[in-house]
Amino acid sequence: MRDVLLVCRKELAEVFSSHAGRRAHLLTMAGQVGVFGILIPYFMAPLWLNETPALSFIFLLLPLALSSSQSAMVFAGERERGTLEALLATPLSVPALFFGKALAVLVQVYGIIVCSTALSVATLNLWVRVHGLGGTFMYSGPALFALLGLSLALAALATSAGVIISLRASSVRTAQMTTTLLSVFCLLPLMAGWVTIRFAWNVVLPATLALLAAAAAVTGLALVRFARAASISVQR
Amino acid sequence: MRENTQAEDVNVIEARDLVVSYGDRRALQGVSVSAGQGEVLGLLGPNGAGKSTFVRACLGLLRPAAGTIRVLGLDPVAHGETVRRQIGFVLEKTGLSEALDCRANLRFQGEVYRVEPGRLRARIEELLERFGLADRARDPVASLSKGLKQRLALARALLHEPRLILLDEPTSGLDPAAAREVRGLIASVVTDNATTVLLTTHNMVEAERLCDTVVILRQGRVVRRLDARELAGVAGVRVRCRPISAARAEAIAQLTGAAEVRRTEKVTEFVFDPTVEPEEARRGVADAGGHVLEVVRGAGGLEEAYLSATGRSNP
Repeated sequence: MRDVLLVCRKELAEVFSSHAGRRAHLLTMAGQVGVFGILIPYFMAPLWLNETPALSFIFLLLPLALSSSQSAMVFAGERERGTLEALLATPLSVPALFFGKALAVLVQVYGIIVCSTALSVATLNLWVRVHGLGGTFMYSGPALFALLGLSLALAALATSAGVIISLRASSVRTAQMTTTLLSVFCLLPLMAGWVTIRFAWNVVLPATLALLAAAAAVTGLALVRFARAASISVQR
Repeated sequence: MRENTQAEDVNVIEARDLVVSYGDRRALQGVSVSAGQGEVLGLLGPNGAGKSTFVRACLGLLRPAAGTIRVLGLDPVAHGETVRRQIGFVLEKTGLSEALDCRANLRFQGEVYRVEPGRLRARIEELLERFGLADRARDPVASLSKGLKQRLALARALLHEPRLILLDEPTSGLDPAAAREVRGLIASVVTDNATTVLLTTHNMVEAERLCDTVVILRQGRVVRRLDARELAGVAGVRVRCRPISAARAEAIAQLTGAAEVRRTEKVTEFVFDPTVEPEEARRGVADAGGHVLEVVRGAGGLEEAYLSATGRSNP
């Protein structure tokens, strides 16, 4: 676990340490939080206050799109730069490298989700006040669980799926395009209104458990693929 | 820092009939090589000779198809973590984090190798100073020249005071000045410590200057092995004279301290230790009565040995 946290810390430091990189990354993250925590909730407030499927922007779109594309970038980038061998030559184990890198992606994506959720509560309360509706808004228990729990399970699943895609893709760009297309494809039924989500415990709990099981299976597969890719990178 | 693996008298590297394959292709075909404590072992050979493969095998990254390899007395595949913890390395691709600065790269390395925090801080400052990186410590690696990156990679390899250092073509791709600087730093490492060093290189001067033993590989096989004495013979300063008798040549050799005399019909050659200055050697032979034709210093001898062993010498 110590090594996993060490790799995760290094990955995050790489993103946030360099002056130019930190500014660009923080601006991107702030932009995402602004869109999903302020703009969309404010302009779609009636839909959000009534906890319609519009909420899925946060707990489905964000983890799916961000986790898969970021993990694709991290893993395919390592492969593209050919720097994996030097990491494998250290005492760090393959699982420590895999989980450390994946955790760094999850921390960033989940940070955006939590910030967006918190900001959306503030935004919706502001909207309620501006429109003189009175009272204080807070998401229902199942909706909050979907926003913070189900999204985490989905982010874990998408991160591992992103790793698998990145290991098959020829370049970072191809990996990111594939993950983006896959995210859109997965969300299409919901966006088109073919599927609706009901925020009730008997829906969000089983859905979260199912996603966790799927995440565990895909993570196992991704770890095996990563170990194989690591071995191949040494043999090149 | 150093873990006791086996008795200290065990060879640090011991490969016996080592075979390593990439799929159907055999990269090493029965290589037997050993290096003792504090020895600098050079691996020379053309591209594809198996030098980097041997380094990877030492790190436990490749599983032998046949034969054995022991590093610090242990099987590097079965005891990968224990073995790798006592190895420092500079691989072809350094693996330095380009986004992090020099100090952060060293700190990460120290944490990976579990260097005690107080010791790590002191060691980082010491190495930054020693490798001339102190004023660039806060600069991202991406902004450094290739020579500076290579210095940092060397510093990183030494950080945890390893018992074995693997250097895979450490001066490859550097301009002559940077290569010379890096070579100087490697030389200081070699003389400072009782650390064993495995150095792969194409550079004859580097091999001559740094190695105690040189093994020449070709197509995955050992084709020539030169120990320290032989290496001095092929690598030293050579003073070529008009042919003289064996007795007179021996007398001159004794007077001048030449390590070896080679006689052919056309020339008599006195070989001096590489530490002898060429002018000093020339004057010594001339004063002793030899008619000096030319003085050759450097890689000529080893280069000839290399070209002949790898089958690339001119007909």
